Amino acid sequence: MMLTSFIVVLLLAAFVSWTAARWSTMVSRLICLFALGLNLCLTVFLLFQHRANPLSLDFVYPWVSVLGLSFSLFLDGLSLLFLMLTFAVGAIAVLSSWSEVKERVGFFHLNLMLVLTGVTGVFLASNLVLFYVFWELMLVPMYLLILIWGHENRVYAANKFFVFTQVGSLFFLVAILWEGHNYYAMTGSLSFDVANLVVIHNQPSMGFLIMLGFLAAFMVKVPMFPLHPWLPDAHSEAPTGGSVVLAGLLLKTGCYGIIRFVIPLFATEFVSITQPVMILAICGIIYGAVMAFAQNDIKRLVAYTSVSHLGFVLLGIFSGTEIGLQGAVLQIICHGFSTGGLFMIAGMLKERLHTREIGKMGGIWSSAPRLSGFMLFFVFASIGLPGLGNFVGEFLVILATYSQSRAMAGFAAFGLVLASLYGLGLARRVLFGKGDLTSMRDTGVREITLSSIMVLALVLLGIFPNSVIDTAKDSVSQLVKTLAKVGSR
Amino acid sequence: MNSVFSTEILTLLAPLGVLTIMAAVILLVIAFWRHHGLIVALTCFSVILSAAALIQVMPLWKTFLLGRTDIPMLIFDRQAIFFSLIWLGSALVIAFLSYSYWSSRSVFREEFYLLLLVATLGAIVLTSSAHFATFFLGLEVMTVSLYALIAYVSDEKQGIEASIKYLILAATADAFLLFGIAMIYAGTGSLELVKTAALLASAQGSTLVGFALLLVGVCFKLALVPLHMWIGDVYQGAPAPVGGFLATVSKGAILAFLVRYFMNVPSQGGSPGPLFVGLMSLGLVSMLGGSVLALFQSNFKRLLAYSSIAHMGYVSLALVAVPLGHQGINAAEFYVLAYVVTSLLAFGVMIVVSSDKDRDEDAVSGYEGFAWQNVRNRPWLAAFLTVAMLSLAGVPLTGGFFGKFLLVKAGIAGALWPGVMTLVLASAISVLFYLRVIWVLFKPEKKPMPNGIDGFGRWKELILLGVGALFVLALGTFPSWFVAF
Repeated sequence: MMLTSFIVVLLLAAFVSWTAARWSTMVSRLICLFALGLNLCLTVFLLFQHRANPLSLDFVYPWVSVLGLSFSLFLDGLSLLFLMLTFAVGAIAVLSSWSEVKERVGFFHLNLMLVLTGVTGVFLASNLVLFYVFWELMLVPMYLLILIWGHENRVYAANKFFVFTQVGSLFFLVAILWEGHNYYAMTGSLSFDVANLVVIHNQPSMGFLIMLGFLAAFMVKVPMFPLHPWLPDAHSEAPTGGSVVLAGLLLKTGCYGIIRFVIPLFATEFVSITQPVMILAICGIIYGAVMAFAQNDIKRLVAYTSVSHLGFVLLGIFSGTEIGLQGAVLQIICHGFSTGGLFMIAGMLKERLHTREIGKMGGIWSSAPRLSGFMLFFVFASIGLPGLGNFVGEFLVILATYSQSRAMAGFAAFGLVLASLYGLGLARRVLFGKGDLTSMRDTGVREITLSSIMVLALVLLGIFPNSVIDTAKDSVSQLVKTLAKVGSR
Repeated sequence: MNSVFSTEILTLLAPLGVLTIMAAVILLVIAFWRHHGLIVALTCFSVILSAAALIQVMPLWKTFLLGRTDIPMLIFDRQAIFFSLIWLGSALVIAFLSYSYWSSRSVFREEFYLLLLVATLGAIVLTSSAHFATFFLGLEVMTVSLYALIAYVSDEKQGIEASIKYLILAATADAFLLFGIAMIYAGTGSLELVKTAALLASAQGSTLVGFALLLVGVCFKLALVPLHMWIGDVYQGAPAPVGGFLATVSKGAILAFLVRYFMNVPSQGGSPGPLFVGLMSLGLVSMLGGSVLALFQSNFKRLLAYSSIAHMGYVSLALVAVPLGHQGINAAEFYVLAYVVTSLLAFGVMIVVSSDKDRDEDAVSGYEGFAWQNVRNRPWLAAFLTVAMLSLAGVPLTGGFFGKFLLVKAGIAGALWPGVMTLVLASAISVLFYLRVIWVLFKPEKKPMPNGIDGFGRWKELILLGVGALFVLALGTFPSWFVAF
C-alpha cells in the first residue's frame, strides 16, 4: 500500500496544484513541494527500515488478469535509491522554476508532477505492461513542458524528443508482447510479470531480437552514442525545471530499465552484447566530452556532458561486474545532483543575463561570488574531483572496465581528462576573465538554500559512498549472480 | 417460424422495425410541421428505443430466418448486438451534436435526421447480415443515404462534388461486389455467409476471383490504398456531422461485417491463403500510405481522412488474424469500439467549433491557441481534442493504445511479422501529425481573442464530449469493463 501511495500522492498533488493556481501560484508550488517532501520522508523512513532488514516490498492488484496485466509494484534497495533520487530531483526542479515560470503556473506544475508520477511508476513497476504505461506517461507531459515553456527552438526540440522516444517505445512494445507470447506458448497462461517471465528460455536468435527491442527504448533514453541526437536539443530548449528532470531523472529510467529488466530476463544475450555496447559507451564518453568542449550555449554544453557521464554509467552496467554496477548506480545518483545543479545555475544565469551564450558571459565572479562559487563546485563535481560523489562512481566504473579490457579502461580514463577540459574551460569562460556584462544580481535565499543542499548531498556521497553501495548491495549481487550463471550454462 | 408475423419474429425484428417506423413517422411529421428540436428529439428517442429493443433481444439471440425456413438472413448474436449498439450510440451522438450545428445554417434541417436514421438502419442490417442479399441491402441503404448526406449543404459546390465522386466510385465498387457475389454463388452454390466463408480458404479458379472481387469492393469502402482516392475529397466536402458518420459507422459496419465473415473461415494452420495475403498487403500499404499522406495536410478533415486510412490498415492486421484464433476477433472488436469513440470525439469537437460559424472549421490553423482562449469553452475543447489525438497516436491510458496493444498481440500470435513491423513504423510516422495538431492547440495566443459566449455556452454538447473523452480514457485504463477478453 505504501508503494501506491507514492504514486497517488504525486497524482493528487498534480491536480490539486493545477486548480490551486487559480488563486495563488505560490500555493500551487508549495503543494508540489509538500508532496515531494512527503514522499522523500517516506523513502528515508524506508531506508532506515532497509538498513535493519533488507527490503523487498510487493504490491499486486489485478488489472486485466485475463491478459496478464496487473498493477504490480516492487521495491528493493535499488528501487529505493532511485526513488529517493526522483523526489529529491523533483523538489529541485520545482524550486528552480520558482521565479522562471510565470505563465500558466498551474498547468506547468501539473505536467511536472505527471512526469514525476511517470518516473516513480517506472521505478516501481514490476509488470512489463504497467512499466510501459508509466514509460509513456513520462513522455507527453515532458513534451508539453518543452513545447509551452521552452526557449526559441522548442517546437523542433520537442518533436525530436517525442519521435525518438516513441520509435524506441514502439519496438519495446513489440518486444514485450513477443516475450509475453513466448510465456503463453510455454505455460498456457498469459502474464507480463517479470517474476514469471524469468523462467523463459528463449532460443538465442529470438531472445536476442527481443532484447534488442527492450534496448531500443532504453538506449534512446540513456542515451547510447548513436541514439543521442534528441538530447542536446531537448535539454537546451526545455525550461530549467524541465532540464533538471530530463537530465536528472529521465535519462536514469533507461539505465534502470536495463538493470531491472534486461539483465534478469536476457542474461545470456546480455553477456553476448557487452563488448560492443561498452565500445559504444566509450565512444559516447569521448564524443560527448569533445562536443561539450565545443559548445557556446551553456545548456547545450551541459547536455553533452550528460551524454559523456551516462557513457560511464553504461560502461559500468555492461561490465557485468558488481563493482561496475555499483559504480554505475553511484554515478547515476551523483550525476542527478551535479548535472541538476549545473542546469539550475544555467537557469539562474539565463534569468539574470537573458542569454545562454557563453561568449557573452565572463567575469561573473566579481559581481556574483556566491553564484560563481556554487557553479565552480558543480563543475568540480561534474568532472569527477575526488572527495565528491562522481569521482567514486567513475573510479569504480573504470576499475570494472579494467577487469574486462585494459584498452577500454584507458579510453575511459582519457574521457576523464577531456571532462576536466570542458569543465574547467566552462568555468574559466563564464566565471573569470573579462566580461561584457558587468553587474549581476547574486543568489537569493531560496537559491542559496537549494544549492547548499545539493552541495551537501554531493559531499556526503563523496565521503560516504558506502551508504549508497550498501543499500543497493543485495539487488546488485543478485544480478551479478544471474550473469555469472550464464557462463556455467 | 412459419408465419412471418409471429411474436418471436417481431421481437427479433423490433430494433430494425423501430427505426423504420420512426423514419416514416419523422417523414410525416416534417410534412406537416417543421420543427428542428422536435425532430431531433424524435430521432434520439427512436435510437434509444431501438437500442432498448436490441438489449431485449440479447438473451434470445437467434438466427432470423425469412420465408423458407432454412435460409438465414439476419443473425442477432452478441457480437451483432455489440456492434449495432455502437452504431446506434454514434447516431445518437451525431444527432445530438448536430442540433446546434444545423441551427446556424440555412438549409432544410429536418431531413438530415431522417437520412441519419435510415443510414444507421442500413448499418445495423449490414452488421447483422447472414446472407449476401441482406448484406447488399444494408450496404445500399446506408450508401444511398450517404449520397444525400454528403451533398446536404447543397449551395456549397464542394459538397455536391464530393457526393458525385462518392456516388460514382461507390457504385463502381458495388458493381465489383455484386459481380464477385455472383461468381461466389456460381462457384459455391450458396449465398449464405457462413457457408461461403467455410469455402473461402480452399477457393479455386473463378470462385477465388469472386472472393477477390468481393474483397476489392469492400476495400474500397474501407478506403484501403490503392482504393483510397475518394476519401480526402469526400471528407472535406461533407459537412462535419456527416464526416463523423462516414468515419465511424460507415467504415465500422463494413469492418464488423468482415470480422463476422472471417470468423467462419476455418483456420488453415499456417499459411493464411492468397486472399488474406492480398488483404494484408493492402493493409501494409495503407498503414504507410495513410500516415505519409496525412503528414502534409493542413486541412483537419483531410488529415482525419488520411489517418483513417492508416487505421483501417491497422485493423486489417486484426482481420487477417481472425481466422487464426480468438485474439484477432477480440482485437478487431476492441479496435472498432476505440476507433469509433475517438473519431466521434475528434469530429464532435469540430462540429461544436463549427456550430459558431456558417462554414466548417476545417483548417488546422483554425484551432490555434484553443488551450489558452477563455472563450466559448475552448480550453475544454482543446483538452478533448488532445485526448482524441493522443488516442489515435496510441499513447497509453487511451483506448487507441489498448487497441494497438491487442493488434500487436494478435499479430505476434499469428506470426504476422510484416504487419507488426509496419504498424510500428506507421505509428511512429503518425505521431508527427497528431503532435502537430496538439501543438497548434497549445500555441500561445497572438491573435486578439474572438468575441463569444463566456461561461458555459453549449454546455450540453460539452458534457457529451466530456463523457466521450472520459470514455476514451476509460477504454485505455479499464478495458475489461467494456469488452470481455
